[in-house]
Amino acid sequence: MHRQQKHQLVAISTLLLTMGLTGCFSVSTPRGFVELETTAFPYKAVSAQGAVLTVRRFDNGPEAKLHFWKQVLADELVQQRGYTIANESAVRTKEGVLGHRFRFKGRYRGEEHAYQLAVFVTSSWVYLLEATAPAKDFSRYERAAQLFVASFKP
Amino acid sequence: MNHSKPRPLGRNLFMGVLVLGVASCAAPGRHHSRLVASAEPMAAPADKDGDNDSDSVADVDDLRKTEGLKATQPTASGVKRLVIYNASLTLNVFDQEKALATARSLAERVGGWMQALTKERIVLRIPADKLRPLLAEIAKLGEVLERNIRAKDITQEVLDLRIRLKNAQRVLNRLTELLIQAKTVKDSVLIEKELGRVTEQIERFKGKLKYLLHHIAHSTLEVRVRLKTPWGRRRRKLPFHWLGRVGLDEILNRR
Repeated sequence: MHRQQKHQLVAISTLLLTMGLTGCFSVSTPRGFVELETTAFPYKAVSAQGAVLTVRRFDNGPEAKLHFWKQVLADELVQQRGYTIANESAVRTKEGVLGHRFRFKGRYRGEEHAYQLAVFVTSSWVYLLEATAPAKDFSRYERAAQLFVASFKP
Repeated sequence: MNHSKPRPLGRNLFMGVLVLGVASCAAPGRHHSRLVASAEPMAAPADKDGDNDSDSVADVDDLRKTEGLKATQPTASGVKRLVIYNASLTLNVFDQEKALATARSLAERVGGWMQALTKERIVLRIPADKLRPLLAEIAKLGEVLERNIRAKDITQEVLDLRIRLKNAQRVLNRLTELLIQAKTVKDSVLIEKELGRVTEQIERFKGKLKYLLHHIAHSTLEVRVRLKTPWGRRRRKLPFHWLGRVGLDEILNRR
């Protein structure tokens, strides 16, 4: 390996490591949504009818695996908040990162909402990809929510 | 001579009314029934021995049928035990409105009805024999914080009322007979006044009896619902503070 290649490899590794430690991620905004500039969320997009997509990340400390966090999240939302799970399944991004996706039913200001929560875990971060809309309207955002999760790169 | 004739009858009537009036108001009991019977020379033979409760029993049975009263427990002496059951339930729920509506619909399904409703409380009246199963059903709507069942034995109270009612009916019959025999307007007025008083008393006894039997047949269930929030009562607390920020409120409220 040439010295230049070695330097490139080190640089890329350092970049990737830095990205991993700082929680950088990328995600595609699906058609019909616009990304908002906000300090409250690392990423937030809305549709014209008010459907919402967000990405949030939280410290994976103490470090735990996906299985642990999906149980914590399900317990929090179902047992502590009264959400019900409509369905759940394992999910993979286009790049093959494994996560878990829940579809909850919950109420917001008296109206039933569909709330999709996908969780991905790295050694440093727990990423939550959320999508919600009133339950009666969610089917029209189903595809967008799937693409949104699939495009995620932690 | 003529004008003095009615006097003994008037005195008799007055004494009779007085005795009957006292009899109808005095504390009930078998001994007392006998005393009244012996003080009533004109009473019907069936009433003399004081053992025939058929009139009042029939009244109570009619009321029981009207109220659909079924569940009574016989005591050691063979008297059916009459008990009013009241229950209360306090639940921790996520959706108060939904929980109260469901509780109401469950009660209506078993023949009950809503008596009172506020934002956090519903009072239901339900057939007594459905109280326990319904209580178990409603308890499933949330986390049970408190559950109470109170039983009030009113057997003696109902027996007392039955005897009072029976005595009052006897007095009424006797007064009616005396009214037929009355010779003067003064006597008639006196008897009618007493008839009115006894009739009112009978209505009062019947009303009270009906009220009690209705409460035996239909239990009262009070359901209170408290809102369960992520910041409220938790079964356990995990040390991940960010968990409280997950969910609809955060993503739909924060800009």
